Amino acid sequence: MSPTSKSTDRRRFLKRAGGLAVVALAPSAATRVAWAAAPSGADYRKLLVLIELRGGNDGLNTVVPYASSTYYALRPKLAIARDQVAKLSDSAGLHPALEPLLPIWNQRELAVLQGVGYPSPNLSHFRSIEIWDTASRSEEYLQDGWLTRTFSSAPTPRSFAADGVIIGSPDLGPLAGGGTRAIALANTDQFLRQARLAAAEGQARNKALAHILKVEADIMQAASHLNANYAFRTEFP
Amino acid sequence: MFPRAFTFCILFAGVSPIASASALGSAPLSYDDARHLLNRTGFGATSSEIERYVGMSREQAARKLLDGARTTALTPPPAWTAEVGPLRYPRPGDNASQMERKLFQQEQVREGLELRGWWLSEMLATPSPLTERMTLFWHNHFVSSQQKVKLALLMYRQNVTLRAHALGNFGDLLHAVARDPAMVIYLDSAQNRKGTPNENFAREVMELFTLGEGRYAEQDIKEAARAFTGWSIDRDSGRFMFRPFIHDDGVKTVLGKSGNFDGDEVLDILLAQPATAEFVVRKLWREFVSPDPDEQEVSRIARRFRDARYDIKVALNDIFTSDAFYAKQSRASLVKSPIDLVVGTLRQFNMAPSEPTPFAVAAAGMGQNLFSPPNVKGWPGQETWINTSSLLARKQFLERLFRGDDPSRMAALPRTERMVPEMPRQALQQGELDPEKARQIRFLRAMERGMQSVQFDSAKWMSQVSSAPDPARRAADAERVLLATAPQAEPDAPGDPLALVRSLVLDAAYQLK
Repeated sequence: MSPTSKSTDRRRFLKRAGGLAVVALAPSAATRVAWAAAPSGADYRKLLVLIELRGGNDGLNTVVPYASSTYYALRPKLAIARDQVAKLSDSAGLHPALEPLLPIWNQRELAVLQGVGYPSPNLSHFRSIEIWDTASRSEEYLQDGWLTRTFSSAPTPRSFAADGVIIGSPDLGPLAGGGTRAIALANTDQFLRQARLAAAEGQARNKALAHILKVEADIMQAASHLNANYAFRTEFP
Repeated sequence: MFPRAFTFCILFAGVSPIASASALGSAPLSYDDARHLLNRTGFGATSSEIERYVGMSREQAARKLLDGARTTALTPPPAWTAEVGPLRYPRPGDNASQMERKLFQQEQVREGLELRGWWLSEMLATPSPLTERMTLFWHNHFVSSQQKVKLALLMYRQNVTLRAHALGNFGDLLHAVARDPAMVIYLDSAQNRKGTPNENFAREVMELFTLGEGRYAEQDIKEAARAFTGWSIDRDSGRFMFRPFIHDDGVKTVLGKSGNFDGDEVLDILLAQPATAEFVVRKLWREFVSPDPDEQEVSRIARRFRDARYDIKVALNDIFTSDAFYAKQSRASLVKSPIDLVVGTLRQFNMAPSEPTPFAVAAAGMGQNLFSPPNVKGWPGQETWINTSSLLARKQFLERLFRGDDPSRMAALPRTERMVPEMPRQALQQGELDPEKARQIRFLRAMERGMQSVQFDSAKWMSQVSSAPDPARRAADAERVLLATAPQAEPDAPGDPLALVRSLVLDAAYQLK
């Protein structure tokens, strides 16, 4: 499966799911009204898709410093030959498999950030991901993801199925923490079946119960908007 | 009459109303009080356990719990914990091959799983659930994680240390943890050398273990870090080792005190600060009482805790006998942790899994992976336990346990509703899958078998909970033992014990304690 077909596949899912996405895409009459009601400054007519590739990645062979003699000296066998690199600039180019990205690079729709890190790193992968998800300072430990904080300052319209949907991982990442209406699912069918276990009835007698009831209601609202007949072509673990 | 009443008022002036009420003695524990006490201090108390505490005074009940505290585990640990000799740890200079490193990693994962299963078994088997709850509390206070420490053996030894002091003396515990090898690795003490200090441990010992944020200056951390230089581990034995050659012998100034301090002296300076006792008591309050500590009570209990030279039982006794602990607004105010939910449910329903590891893995799937808290601050707990993903994981776990005694019902369920999706059996047998995927599938299958190993006999359980002939009365008795607050939804079919239990455990109220 090519990367292109995978991404259109997900986009179709998101479209069918209505307002179910980090930000709504399908301009139905109902959501148009909802945008009008959204707080000033927040434009929810765009869809933000974040793709996180888990596991190891050879950064230097993804964005290749092809003008560097040190790179070739240190990688006598692994280096990508200069003439195979999909050039982005005089010094950096993409691995040949990423050549399909060149058109959007040329249209100035693609950016590459290299060497992202934090001061005195403790080399823990988990800590890096935490900083990445919460956009915290290196010595700061935040519970809420950066999107969670964004949505709490600019809430989405209540008519949206959810603030965001996480596909293929139970981990809420940048949507973790209090307040967001985020759902995680690996396939729609399974989510809908599980969602039947949620029930938002009764009244909250304290903060803890109020929180649980809110989460149950979020699950039900998302489930009510979700298209059960949509099956991903990608299999998630 | 008047002068007497007047004297009475004078006597208690300046004492908080809560303290005065306790001093006057409390009413004997009701069933609900006893249930509350046992579920907060242990995991999923059964009806017969609750009955044993009914009628006791708060003081008697607290004493019984505290006197029962243990210092060692009952469950035999995995055989590899007895290992002595050099740590099997490929070090950077070892020139270990890729394969050796991979094997080491797999071995640590396997041992880590056994370790989680062992602790979960102890939580299920222990005659003193409070001991395990406090061990878990300290695990979440003095955080170390196998993610960084790697060696399951060191995580085991740390757990033994935490349990030995769990209800002992906080000062002893702090000193023991500071030289615990897993901690030395986790907070980089081994990299802390004279001239090139690593401040990680010094920072966390102040911020997270003793004083709490904002009670010290950046300079205190820098100076304290110098006092801990040379605290290291001996790679051959895996035990703590002080390396005098890299220890900074200069004068340090910490929190206004100056001297050629070593690490232990700095810890004593931290223990002498009133803020330390308050910080720990506030955390105990959130663990046992409610999410909102009563500051007046915290400082009263903290003062007694410090005066008792940090005897943990003194602090716990004060908490377990306080009015706030039993107050109506404290009931059902805490969210069950995944361990509360998993261990509590298994204990509550007398389920004895033949294989405990799958249940530790289930708790990990809900966000609480024993021996691997998410970061140095530990699991934040309470409302952060519940999000759309974890709540569905919790409910699915419960739904699965109470699916039914009838195997035909299980067989009739659609495949995807099982915990682990049906695996490509043929592909597995024919070796068509890559080894990593195949291993993962075998692991998930083993988990599935473990989950299936617990049986729930609803009729038997019901008869233990209630002898009432009337179904509505029986339903009320079941509700009383299972829920800390009234259910959100009217329970289904009170006549069918399994349907009743299912609707009660799937109710939002079951997520609370």
